[in-house]
Amino acid sequence: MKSASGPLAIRFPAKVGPEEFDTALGGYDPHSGKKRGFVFNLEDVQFISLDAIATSLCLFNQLVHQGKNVALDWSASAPSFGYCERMGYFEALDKTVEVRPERPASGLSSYEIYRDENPALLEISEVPVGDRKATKALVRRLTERLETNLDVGGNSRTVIDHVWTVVTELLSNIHEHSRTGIPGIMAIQPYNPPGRGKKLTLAIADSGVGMVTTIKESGSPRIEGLEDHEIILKAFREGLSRREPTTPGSGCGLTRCAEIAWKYEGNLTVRTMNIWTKLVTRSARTGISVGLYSNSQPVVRGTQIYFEFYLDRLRA
Amino acid sequence: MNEINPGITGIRLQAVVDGTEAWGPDEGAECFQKTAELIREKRPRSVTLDFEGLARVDSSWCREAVCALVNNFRGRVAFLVAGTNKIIEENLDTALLKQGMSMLCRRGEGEFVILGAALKPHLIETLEIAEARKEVTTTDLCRRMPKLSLQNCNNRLRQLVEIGLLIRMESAAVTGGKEFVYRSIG
Repeated sequence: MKSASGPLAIRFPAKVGPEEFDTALGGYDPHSGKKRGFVFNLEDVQFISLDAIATSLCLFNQLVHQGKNVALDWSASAPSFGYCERMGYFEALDKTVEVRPERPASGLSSYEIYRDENPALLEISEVPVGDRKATKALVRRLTERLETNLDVGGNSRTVIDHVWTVVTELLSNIHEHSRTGIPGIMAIQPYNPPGRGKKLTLAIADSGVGMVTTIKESGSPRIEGLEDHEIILKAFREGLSRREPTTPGSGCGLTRCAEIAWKYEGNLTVRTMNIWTKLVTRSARTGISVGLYSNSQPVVRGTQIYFEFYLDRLRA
Repeated sequence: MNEINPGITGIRLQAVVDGTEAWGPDEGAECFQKTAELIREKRPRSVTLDFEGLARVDSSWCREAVCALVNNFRGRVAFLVAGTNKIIEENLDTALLKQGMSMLCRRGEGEFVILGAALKPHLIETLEIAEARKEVTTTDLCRRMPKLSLQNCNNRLRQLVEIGLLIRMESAAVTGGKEFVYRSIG
């Protein structure tokens, strides 16, 4: 993987989920390492999951903001290129990231031509940090698309209300805690795999200092002695916030997200800095709990949250 | 001390927020500022926060716009909510529960639910009586619950006032003295 000189070359495999993304980075920390240039090769990628899309966008944008050179080797014939182009990946990718052989031409990408036309697709959106008016417009647009396109029978209104709630709570966190000029990312993808039931996946990501860092700033005794993944669980299970103890009830947004995840037997994956934690809700008795975690991932700054709603499993 | 307006005030929240959806703590805090100013102006004993016309609000907004408002006027003004829908109730419920608060939510003629922290059965029992009658005295309650002492009845009503689910008014007793009347909010 490492070359003797020049940029660091990293090749992604055919299927890229969060695990494959981190494995490809091979434990190298692109932020603190000495390398000034990176070439990420996606030519073999046939499938890239929504959370890996969000994480990769955050990482690549963060690196160029640090003044590093980033190039993506990504042929237009690669299966994933067309999908990502249609999702608006290249619009959310910082303009200084080099795409080789070339980016889709401005104004002519399939995203720009067909935007909003496919009811099965909800494209990647940039979340402008600090611009509340633009973010409100983004949320309204999302709701309108869901109201037009989402069909889960009699539960459609309930599902949309719950998705809206998760989106607004997590977007509020971006505005409050991001502390960076790098835009956040939001993307939604419905899935309907045969025999597995309808699923809606949501990724909301920022490039700030990370939720564990901001929670630790509170100095709350409630997190004393806890490891980072335990802090994440506590944040969602009981509500933790940078604002405590001065703001009573702070952190209720995250507990609400966890409640909604439980309603859909959903999973909530949080990636922040070097931590990856998958919270699961299979047990009706224990509510949300840690399914898997790792505290040694390559650093991707900020917080990326991936939410899975199993639409056919809505609990009363 | 200024005379306090014993009336009931209703605040239609859609008139205070921008649009039919409200979310986030910043927007909640803006709503708080506006509604608190109205309340300081009118000095009511109870306020109905009317959500009619609002399609959605999230928990973080509720924390600032509702919970903080209730806490700010605790002991002086009692609050209830009305005009809610399912998602508003769910999200408000979470915000209230996080702070151990309870709030009365009117759903139509005579129907109500308690959002937030659940009430113990004996308090629900007492509240239902007070709601059905619109107002009770300790003596009234004791007549309806003969197994309870006057002190117990008084304690139950006092607790409901402290939680913010009834308001206590001073009235002239039949005997000529002073007595407290416990009124349903709104």
